Amino acid sequence: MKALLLRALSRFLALDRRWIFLLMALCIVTPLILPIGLPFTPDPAVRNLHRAIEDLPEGSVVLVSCDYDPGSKPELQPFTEALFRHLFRRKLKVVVSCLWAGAPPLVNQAIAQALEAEEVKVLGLKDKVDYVNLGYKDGRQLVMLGMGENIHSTFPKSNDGTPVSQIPLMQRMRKLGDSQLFVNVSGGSPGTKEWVETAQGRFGLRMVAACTAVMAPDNIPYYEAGQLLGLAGGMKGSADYEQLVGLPGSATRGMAAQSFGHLLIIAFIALGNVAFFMTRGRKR
Amino acid sequence: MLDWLFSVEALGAFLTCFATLMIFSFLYRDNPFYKFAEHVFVGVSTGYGIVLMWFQILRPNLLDRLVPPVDAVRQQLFRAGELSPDAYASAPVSLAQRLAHGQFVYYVFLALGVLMLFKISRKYHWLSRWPLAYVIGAFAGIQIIQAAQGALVPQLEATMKDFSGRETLVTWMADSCRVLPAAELGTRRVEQQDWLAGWMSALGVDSTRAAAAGKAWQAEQERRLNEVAGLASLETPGVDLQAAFKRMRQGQAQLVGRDGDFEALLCAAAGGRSLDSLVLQANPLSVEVAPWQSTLALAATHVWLESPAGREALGERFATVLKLPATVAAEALAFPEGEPSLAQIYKAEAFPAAAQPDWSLPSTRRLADSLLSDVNARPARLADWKSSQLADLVQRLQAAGSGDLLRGLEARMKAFDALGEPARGQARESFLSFWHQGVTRELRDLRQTWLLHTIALHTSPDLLSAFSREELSAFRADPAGWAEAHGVRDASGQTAPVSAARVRTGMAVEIISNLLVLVGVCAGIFYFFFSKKHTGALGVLSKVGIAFLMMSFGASFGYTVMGRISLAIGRFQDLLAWPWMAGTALVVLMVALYLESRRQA
Amino acid sequence: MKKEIPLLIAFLLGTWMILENFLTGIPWVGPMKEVITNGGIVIMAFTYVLGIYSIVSVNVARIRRGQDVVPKVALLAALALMVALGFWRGHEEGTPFNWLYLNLYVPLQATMFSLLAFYIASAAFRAFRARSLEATLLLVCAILVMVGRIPVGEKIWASFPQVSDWIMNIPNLAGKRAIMIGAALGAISTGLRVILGLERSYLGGE
Repeated sequence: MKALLLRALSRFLALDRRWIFLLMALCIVTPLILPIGLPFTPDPAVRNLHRAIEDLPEGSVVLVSCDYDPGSKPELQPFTEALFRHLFRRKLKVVVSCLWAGAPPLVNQAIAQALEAEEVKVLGLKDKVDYVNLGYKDGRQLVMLGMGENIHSTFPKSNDGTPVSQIPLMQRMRKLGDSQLFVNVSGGSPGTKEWVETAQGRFGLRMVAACTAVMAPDNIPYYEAGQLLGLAGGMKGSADYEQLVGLPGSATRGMAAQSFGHLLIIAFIALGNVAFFMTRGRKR
Repeated sequence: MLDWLFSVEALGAFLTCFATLMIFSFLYRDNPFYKFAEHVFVGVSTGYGIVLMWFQILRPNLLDRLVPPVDAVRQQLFRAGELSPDAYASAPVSLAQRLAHGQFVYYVFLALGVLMLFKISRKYHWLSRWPLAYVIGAFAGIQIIQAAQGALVPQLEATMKDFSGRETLVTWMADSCRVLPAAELGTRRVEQQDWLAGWMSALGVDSTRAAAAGKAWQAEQERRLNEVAGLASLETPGVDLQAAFKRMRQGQAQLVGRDGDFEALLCAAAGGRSLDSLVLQANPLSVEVAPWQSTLALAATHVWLESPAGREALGERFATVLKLPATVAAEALAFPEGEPSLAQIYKAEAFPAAAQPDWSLPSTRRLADSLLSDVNARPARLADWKSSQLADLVQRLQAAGSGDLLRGLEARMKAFDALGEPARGQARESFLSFWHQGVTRELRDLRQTWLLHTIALHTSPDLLSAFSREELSAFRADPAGWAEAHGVRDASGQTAPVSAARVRTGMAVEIISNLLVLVGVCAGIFYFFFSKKHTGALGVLSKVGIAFLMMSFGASFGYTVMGRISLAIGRFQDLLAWPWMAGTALVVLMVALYLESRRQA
Repeated sequence: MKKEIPLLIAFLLGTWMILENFLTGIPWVGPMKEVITNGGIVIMAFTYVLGIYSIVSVNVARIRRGQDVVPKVALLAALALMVALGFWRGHEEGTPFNWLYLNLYVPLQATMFSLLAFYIASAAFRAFRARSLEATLLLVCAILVMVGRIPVGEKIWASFPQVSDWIMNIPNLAGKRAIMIGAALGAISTGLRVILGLERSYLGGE
């Protein structure tokens, strides 16, 4: 029996990895095709992020720095879409900037989607008065320091080429410290780490962040030290936020697939280790 | 359907699916279609980057500074008085004028940028060191400050927590007993539902009576605010100031409501007097700071204005509830001779009171100075300074002797005027709304600050923190008993349900967690200390450090797996958004791969 | 002077970036800060031109040698198409440039990164072995975090998320903080070395 099991495990270990790829694909696709609505509890850090936005009085200016590209889209775009809808619904003023070249069109897509929502349409929000996309600048911390001193100098024009001096919303937003909340949506570097270390303390920003799952453990120290008021990590963080604002989207729908993917990886790790220890025992 | 199939949208959907599947085909085997897609990606991303670099960086940040656009030159000429308002829109601007109005320092950066391109040259590549040194040197300096200020100090500070379990205790206290512990928690907000109910019970007020009084108070407050809005209205057509004020108020309506109830109940505690004669104001208490003592002081002020009996009752409450010594409580209600009483200040600052604040007082001037310094820093607030409010404020400043500030104010007004008509027209609506919000809020905050300032003069911060420590100890020993003693109940009328054992367990967990973090951080840092061999005690410490590091790497690995799977989920979600297109693309790709493999064979 | 002037520039810029953090209340500091940061942004944009030259020259050389002609030509054609569309019709929403971005750039990049999910599955199966105590600790924590982050985990045991949170907020926090403090000290020393001219590798040879 044991020999049979060992033989099976050895053959399993030598399996062509394309079967593993196929199994992974099936694990992900099946819950997407046959949705399983699994409930989940939002993380406390995401609750604090949501609360930081809810606490803002109407008319407050929120600066959103979208520092990601299509490589992080599945994790961060759902958050960005829910964020803009939440901000618009709360009647907050939104200024967007980007440190990654791939971000501006994704931001425009998220804003357009948020403006199409029923509860936002009735507000009659106007571009350049209620929200503005300043576009992209390359320069990492130089851009952050420039924004901390004078945003108008760092971003002389908005994403669509309008001089910033002629944008009504930007008249009350001269530097980073003029915002009541700073939201960073980060896909890597430059991102949350650079913003927190370079700008948050120096300019006294109230800051929250959403980041990819890979970066989330690295950003926990900033959250625990109080440098970040809230933190949403990965697709789970985006799903938590969607739930808190009552707008279930692609992140929430992906949670079931995420569950099965994780369970498959855990099964692989367990099986691989069982096979390893059993074959190692046999060799001894 | 056929129309859609030949539309740009359908082409885009097919392109998306086909590109996705071409990359996924690598999972099957390396093939020319994957290579083709990979190269197309590099080309598209490079081309995208070139376009963005020009439109978003080089043109606005460099070219427009060297050769400003026509509009920018017109603005500068207008400000210098060389262009009249009539000619503003149509005046021709020559290239020479544009070059003359450029920022010459950017020629240096243009030169440095061009020098960067010499990196390609074998003979002159050393010229590229100059701009490289600029960037590397700048980032080296930034890195030092970033690492010290942004990482090292905050993280060290956060590691050195106290080991008293205070944070947990305060949270339990607030959650269980619905008592507001104010600023101890810093940025962590405490749930404050029904905290009013707790205070009402603590102060022995009948809840029904207080609720009715609260509603009447709120109605009165709205009337007062509308009056304020009316007084502040400018002679500017087309601006709905009432709406502006309402907008401002709505954002704070909840807090206003709460504080209204609270003040109403305190007035009721002072003898059920009428609210009509109260001086009312919106109370923009920030939840984070939430100085409950200022609310108490605010309500106390209302009562002082009218009722000596109320003053006495509140003095007693100060002594009992806040555990202030009787002498301090008495001092909080009375002032040394010469200084105006809180009541007098309050009365003076009420809208639309006739009496003016005493600008000769140092504290008054200090606060006014800080208000105006802030306003000066934000010229957008000077949307329309032709109102009677400005004249009034200017008079006050002159009386207070704030000459420098006045001159700064006038300069700001000129700068706004020089913006040019088109910009002013566009900005007007938001300026006005913001001005009402901003200036009115500041004047309100000014009043609030005076009250806090006066209370702080007579109430030692040490005493307040001592009060907190005593209360925390009492709560920890016997939560239910403490709640009973203070008559604090939650919304359902129950006293604190949490047990002392549970509170102590929670505190122990917090203390152990903080200790673990401290040990982990120190051990982790010691692991990277290679100047001494890791033997003996240092060896044990470094092994502990490795354990913590391994656990953190494990957590990172778990999140990395989560992240990667999320990316795959996203791709399949996009494919499943166009199932027929994805299916067609898959069939096309499979056929192409088959033909390619046949050709290889 | 080929090295001395760049070292001086690095020294001046580095010192300025440190000092400007502490110089407050001086009128000319603000405008100078703006100019220096904007200058850095402009110079960094020119480094992109170098990257473009490199891509184009390498691929043209390969095409001339007849290596992988079709993909290389596709690369250059895609580059030229994006540039032409961007400059001819603009880059805003609704333009062909934006259309290509959304329907070509986005799926290609997103899919490239998503390949890693499959490789992680393969690696989990073949390579992640608990060979030592430390490796076991790593795997156990990873599994607990993975289970705690998914809805199924919460269904299996309601406290799984709390276990996962504890791992994130205590041992992970301690480990990451230790690394962060060490890295910060290293960054300070590296920065000082660059500013003082002790670190010259960025200048290259000669």
